[in-house]
Amino acid sequence: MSKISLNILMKDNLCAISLKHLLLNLFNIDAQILDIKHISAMNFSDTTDLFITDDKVFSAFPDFFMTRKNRLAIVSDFGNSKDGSLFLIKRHASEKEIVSELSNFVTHSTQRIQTANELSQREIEVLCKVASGLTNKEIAERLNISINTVLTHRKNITSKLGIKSVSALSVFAIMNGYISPKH
Amino acid sequence: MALVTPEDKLYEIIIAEPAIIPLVNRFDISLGVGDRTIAEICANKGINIDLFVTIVNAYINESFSFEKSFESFGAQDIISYLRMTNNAYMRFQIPNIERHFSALISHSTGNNNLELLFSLFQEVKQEITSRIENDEQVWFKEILEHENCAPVGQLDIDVNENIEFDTTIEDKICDLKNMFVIHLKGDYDRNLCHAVLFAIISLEKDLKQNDRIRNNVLYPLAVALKKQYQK
Repeated sequence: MSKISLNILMKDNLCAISLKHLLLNLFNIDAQILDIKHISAMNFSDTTDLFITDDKVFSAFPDFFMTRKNRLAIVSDFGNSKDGSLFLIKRHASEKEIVSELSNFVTHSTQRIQTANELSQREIEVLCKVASGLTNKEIAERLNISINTVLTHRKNITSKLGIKSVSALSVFAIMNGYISPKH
Repeated sequence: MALVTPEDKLYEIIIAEPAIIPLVNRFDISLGVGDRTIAEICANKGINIDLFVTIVNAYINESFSFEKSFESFGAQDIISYLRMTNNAYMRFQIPNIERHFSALISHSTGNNNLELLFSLFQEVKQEITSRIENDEQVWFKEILEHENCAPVGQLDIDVNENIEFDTTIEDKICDLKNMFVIHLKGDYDRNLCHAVLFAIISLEKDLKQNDRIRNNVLYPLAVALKKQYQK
């Protein structure tokens, strides 16, 4: 847990500080509180694992957060929806519920990060194309690689994930936020 | 496991290989088999001994292939068994998984991953249903038509024909099992999850074992019947 990098981007500093200490005490995560004034100028590297923000900041910078939605929790007036497209933490929930939701966010994100680490970026790209229903030939054309390279990536994906049918790969891609359920 | 013979005690086979219990039930043999031999039980139940022993061997031995001509039973008998198997999938095994899966989803609130896995199971179910429909409307129908025109005892059966069978269903159900074991996330009811997973593993094993009966027993017979019919 200690190796996870987490940035908090919120308007409410008291809430941000509270979250920082909760994360440190409960999960041994040393979160950084960042100033939202500079958010559009910030160049976050891919080494940032997780983000926590609130609904107002999320609404102000939708492009920034939507591209990072799979590693994001949003403090809002609502709890998590059934479709699970965004991870929400209800700000008016009880202490027990908030700790439970934080725990879910950290645990699930850690599992996802570990899985993502198993697949290379190129393999994830191929996985998304396979899950979207493209043929090997179409994937090769879209990614500008040979069909043999596509086949090698597919073989490696199957070997790493233990699944090979397009249906199961699609389910895996949705579960891990690589594609949306509507694909 | 060594090949089963009519002289073997059935209880010894069941204890060594409990996976044959569904197979035994499909022949209307209930547990409580005593210490009687397979030959005695089959004679008592009016079951063709050669057919029963062949199906048990194909079921429990991965490398089993049929090596002698069909004399005491034919395609009709094997198809009757496979129909009982298909019936068991549709009436018992698949509804059992669906029932437990639905309970698992309703007892695991907020875990939408289970619904995704359920959709994968529904695809498996659809493909099993399609295979059964194809069995009834095309494959079994054609074999039985050919059998009526060609006596099985005179067939030239080549069990070494190089063929590739469609394994889509087997691949998907294996993937479904692996999704549970390797990639399941979130909170869930453990007891119900185990019930679903064990039922899926049981169905996967049964499908694989019956594939051997379809591919190594019925298929060579069907090919031989077709050749005989075309002469």
